[in-house]
Amino acid sequence: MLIGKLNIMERTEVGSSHSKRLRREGKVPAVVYGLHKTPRYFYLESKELDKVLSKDVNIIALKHSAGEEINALIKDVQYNYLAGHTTHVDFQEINMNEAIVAKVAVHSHGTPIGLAQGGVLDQYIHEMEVSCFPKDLPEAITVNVGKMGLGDIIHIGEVALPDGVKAVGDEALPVFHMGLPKVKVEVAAEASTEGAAGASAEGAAAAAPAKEGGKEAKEKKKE
Amino acid sequence: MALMPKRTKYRKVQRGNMGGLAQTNNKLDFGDFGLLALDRGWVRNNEIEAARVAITRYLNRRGRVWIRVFPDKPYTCKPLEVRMGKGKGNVEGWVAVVLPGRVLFEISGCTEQTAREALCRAAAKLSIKTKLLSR
Repeated sequence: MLIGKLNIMERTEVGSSHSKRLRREGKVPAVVYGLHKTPRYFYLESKELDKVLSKDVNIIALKHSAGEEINALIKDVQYNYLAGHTTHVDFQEINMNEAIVAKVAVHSHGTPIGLAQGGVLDQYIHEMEVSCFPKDLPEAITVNVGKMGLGDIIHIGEVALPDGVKAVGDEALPVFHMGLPKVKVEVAAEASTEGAAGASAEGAAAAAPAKEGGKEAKEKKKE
Repeated sequence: MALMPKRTKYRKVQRGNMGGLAQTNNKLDFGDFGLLALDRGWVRNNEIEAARVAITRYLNRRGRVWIRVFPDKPYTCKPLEVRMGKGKGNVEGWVAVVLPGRVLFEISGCTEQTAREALCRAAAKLSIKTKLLSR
């Protein structure tokens, strides 16, 4: 469990115009909800937030300017995908003594056997939902893919999780798959279509005089 | 075979508007690296095909490629030296309407350096400004 720390300041004014003003000053508006409390609105420094988001941090200790400390999960992060900066953050307040459901990053470890055979490692799930107590929450789940040959699949149910951590959701969903590259298939398809096109072009060229000949013969017959 | 729909409901369509930003398909969903559109415009089917070929040839059978746009809009032109009127022109080609923020291509199964070079080559084939995305 890696706990990040962020300083938050309460905001009294809410709304888009106020949020835009904050963003112009290098701050990010945020909301904290959960534990059946009324949502509270804060803002925090953009630089501090970017540092925390760059790591695999699950739980964040939000330090209020009034001295209060809130333990929270990052529930949602909104980005400006053109400029690449964070525009809003949702935090969910948690009780450290109650089980929670959180998303944890999934990383691969090792070089698969199938890679040498010309395969490509596909990762279908980059974040996995797990249920556990906050103290047991892993920073990331590392899956050993070293033994994967061509066509092998690792499902959610087969991922080794730390003690006290359970996967949530369908266990039959694939996380990693060692498959053949589609690029190869496309190139093969390209070659076959080119060949077919070439063949058809040659065929058309050969057939064209015959057709013309046929037309001429018909015209002669008509005459 | 050019990228175009197999069949369409109507042969010709109006030009339409291209306002706003891409609200969907604006983040990486499949691969580890991608090409994000910064401009708005019509991307023709031959541009998409040229970009795909540039990527696949550079990757040389390594990695995986996803094309996230499809040219489903026909565009028409009037022949040269033809007076205005007498109906809409003939269908000349197919375009994909791209708004800023749209992910055009995605790549996985290769190093960042390879992906960067492949996507850079693809970007050179497109008529709009793009930038590289990574997970």
